[in-house]
Amino acid sequence: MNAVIVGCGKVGTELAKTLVNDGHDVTVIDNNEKALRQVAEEIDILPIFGNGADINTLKEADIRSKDIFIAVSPSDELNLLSCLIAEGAGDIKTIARVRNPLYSKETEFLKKKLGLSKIINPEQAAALEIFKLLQHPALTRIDSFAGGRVVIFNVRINGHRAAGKNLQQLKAATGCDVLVCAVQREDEVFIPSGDFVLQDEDEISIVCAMEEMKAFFKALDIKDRAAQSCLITGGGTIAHYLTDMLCKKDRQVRIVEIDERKCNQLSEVFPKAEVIHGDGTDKAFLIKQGLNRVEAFVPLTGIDEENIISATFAKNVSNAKVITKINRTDLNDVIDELQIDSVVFPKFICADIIAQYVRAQQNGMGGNVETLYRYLDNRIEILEFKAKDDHDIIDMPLSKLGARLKKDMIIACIIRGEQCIIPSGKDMIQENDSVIIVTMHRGIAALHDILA
Amino acid sequence: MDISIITYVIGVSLCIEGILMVVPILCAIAYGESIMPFVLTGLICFVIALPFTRKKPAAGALFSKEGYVATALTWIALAFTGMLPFLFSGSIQSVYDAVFETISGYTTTGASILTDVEALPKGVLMWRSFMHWIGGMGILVFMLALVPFTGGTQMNIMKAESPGPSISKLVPRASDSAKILYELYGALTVLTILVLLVLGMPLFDTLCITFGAAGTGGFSVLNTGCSTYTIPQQVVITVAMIAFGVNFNFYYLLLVKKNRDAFKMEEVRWYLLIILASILLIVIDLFAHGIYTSLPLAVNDAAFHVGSIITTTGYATKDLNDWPNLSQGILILLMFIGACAGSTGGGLKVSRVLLLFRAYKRELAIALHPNIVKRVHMDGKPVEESIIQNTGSYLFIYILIFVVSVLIVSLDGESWVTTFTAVAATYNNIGPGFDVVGTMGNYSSLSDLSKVVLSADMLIGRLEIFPIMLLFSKAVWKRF
Repeated sequence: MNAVIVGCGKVGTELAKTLVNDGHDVTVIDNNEKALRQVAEEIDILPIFGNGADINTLKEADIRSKDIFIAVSPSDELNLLSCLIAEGAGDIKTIARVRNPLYSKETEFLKKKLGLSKIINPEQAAALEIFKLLQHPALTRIDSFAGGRVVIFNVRINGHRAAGKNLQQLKAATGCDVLVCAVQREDEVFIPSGDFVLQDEDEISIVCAMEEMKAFFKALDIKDRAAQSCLITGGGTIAHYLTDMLCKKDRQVRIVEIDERKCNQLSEVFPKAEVIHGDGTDKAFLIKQGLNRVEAFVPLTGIDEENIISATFAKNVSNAKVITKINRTDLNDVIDELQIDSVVFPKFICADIIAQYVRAQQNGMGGNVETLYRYLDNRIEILEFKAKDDHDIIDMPLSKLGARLKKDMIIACIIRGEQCIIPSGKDMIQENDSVIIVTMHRGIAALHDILA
Repeated sequence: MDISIITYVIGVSLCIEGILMVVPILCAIAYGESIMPFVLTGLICFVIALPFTRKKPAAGALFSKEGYVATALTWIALAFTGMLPFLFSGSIQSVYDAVFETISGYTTTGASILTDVEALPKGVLMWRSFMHWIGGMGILVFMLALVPFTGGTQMNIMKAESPGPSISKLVPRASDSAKILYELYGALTVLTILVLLVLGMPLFDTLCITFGAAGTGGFSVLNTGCSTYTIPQQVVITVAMIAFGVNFNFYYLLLVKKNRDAFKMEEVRWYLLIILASILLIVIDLFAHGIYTSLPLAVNDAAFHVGSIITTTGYATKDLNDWPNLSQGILILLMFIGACAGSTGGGLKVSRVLLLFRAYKRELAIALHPNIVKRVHMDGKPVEESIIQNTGSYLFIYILIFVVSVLIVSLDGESWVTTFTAVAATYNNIGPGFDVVGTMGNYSSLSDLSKVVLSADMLIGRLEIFPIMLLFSKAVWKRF
């Protein structure tokens, strides 16, 4: 597909990289020549210098022949305006990034009025991600499929009973119908087979039905009780969304923010939250705010380094679940080594959401991706498909199908109505099933792409 | 610097060169000549390339520095393997001469050390002309079109190999851009071949002459150059040469039906304007000196040589030493201006001349109003300041290398006209100069030292100075 991206900041760049790797042609518009040149030097894109809302610039980008238009410049208003103009110039799907909490209530209205295909709010998505992890502190990441009936989650093996067992033994020992679909050991990522032996410090991704998750944790003696209290440093947009979600669940929230004006605003909007005016990077101050007693600590300041330092500090002085937000996308290898629990990258989340949308749009070309997540440093893709007219695949026992699959690819789960099947060799995919695929390949856009 | 990616690029290019030996082999078979020189050359290319291409290097290592170095080294490697057919067939004995002839071929210069071209086997002549065609658009651009590279850094190769102050892609993907360029290049080449065949030119001459015109090279296959071809054939060659000197973005814009944008390209407009003005002046000059009496003939010859020189092709139908001073002067000036950026031609390029002229006009404005803020525009868009700076430095180093080359070649003791135009004609990838190295002469009488210097000039001129000069920079070879 032909995509146009307006804005080559961190999100725009990450997105361009994802789309180009997925095999799409990408044109990037930005009004900063230097940034544009830098991106063009790294990624195989066509750079166009100009303003994304300027019709001449859009014409130069040949907007008429493009399929999808994504506006991710820093300004919400410019994004909405450029989408509006792009639509006027040609028949094109438009996506705008809008992140101001003030507009978040109007999202549906704006989308409808302006004819947008999608409005993305990376900050809100990041807040949701953090919220989900606060619900399940034992995990480093969790996502759901099929309206929450099936989940995929990451857990680090840390001295519990899974270590030293192979996957079949693990299944027998827990008595749970779960599938370990990927393992990260130091720098390597595997898609394991049944005789793969787990070790301490492995990070494993597991697919299972929602109800199985609790039983699995019980069997392994992993405590996974939602955090009741939460300390947040930095009162930015993500903190805003997160506080909203936590307050609705009646959790205790304390936000430390250095800017008095922002403190006032937060306190106006969230009467239930405790807003503290102070320096969230000051260690003694954090202890005073109860860092050593709180159940969860979430550093959300605008400076990555500060967040990382506070997170490491928090790991040392308390048992709190720590979830760190990192803006820069190039640091993930380094951060893996620091072992600071969960890390949330809003930029990756945003790129994932759009990549998922773009693959779903390949429908005309036979694509039918329902959901897409990327796990373990983006090296594993987990996709959900709806099975339709894939005659090579439907009604064929998986034991037969298995030999024809691409390498490093497994069928992790089949969802049939209310039923959730972790498949074995005799199971088969039927029409209208949802199928969850775990793979190390890039750019799988349709179910039949899984065949070698 | 990442050596593995550089050796990989060189290896793949040598493989491509080996495969391209098919062209002269077919020709040799058709004329019943020995195919051994080409088969051997092909094998040698593969043997050298084998260890380089066995492992594909990790993605993303081709940064700007590696792009320049890979391009420069690839071209040098091609020069030393491309000369083998000349040596194996015994057509050229001296290695200096063979290197000169090969670099002249790949850089689309067309300067020759051969005194009797017609004595050479047809297969060798075909290889000689075919080198023009490959070198015109560039073998690395060809490689980009064929070989899938991962990561987005392929542009660094295209930038290093394609001529012009700033290279832009036609479409988002570098490999697709390279494909489109070669498709346009191939289509125009086939069109020229067909027209020349219809006009009755023999097949062998048609192919060689078209390859020379397409790459703006200029090796001819007859001792008399192009003078034995009929007037209509000469007209077609003129049009073809001028067409291949046009920025290929122009054809792409026409292809995607953006005619208005295409004809708005200032570089193309100025290029055509310079050609028309030069023809007009030369025709008047020729008439004033009574050299021609027939207007159509004068226009034909003037157009042929103006087209030949400004596109840096170097075909000739007349001995230009007989032409009056003004006409010769205009042609020497055209040697330096050269063709459009993004074409197959050499020289300074029309766009650089335009940019420099506009930068100069801006300096005048600044002298008048010291506080003025003024951007230089091209095609209605402001030009990045870094490009203007780069163009200024380019002009300086361009002149410096020219002067040094002239000084070294002057050791031969030839006339100043010979010395000056020999350097100008090789440095700008044209081919023939004036006097001894004129359209009906050749470079065989120059010393080996001069041949080495001129060979280097051809390479430096074709790759636009920086890639070759970077090889001599210590910083490039440091590990860190």
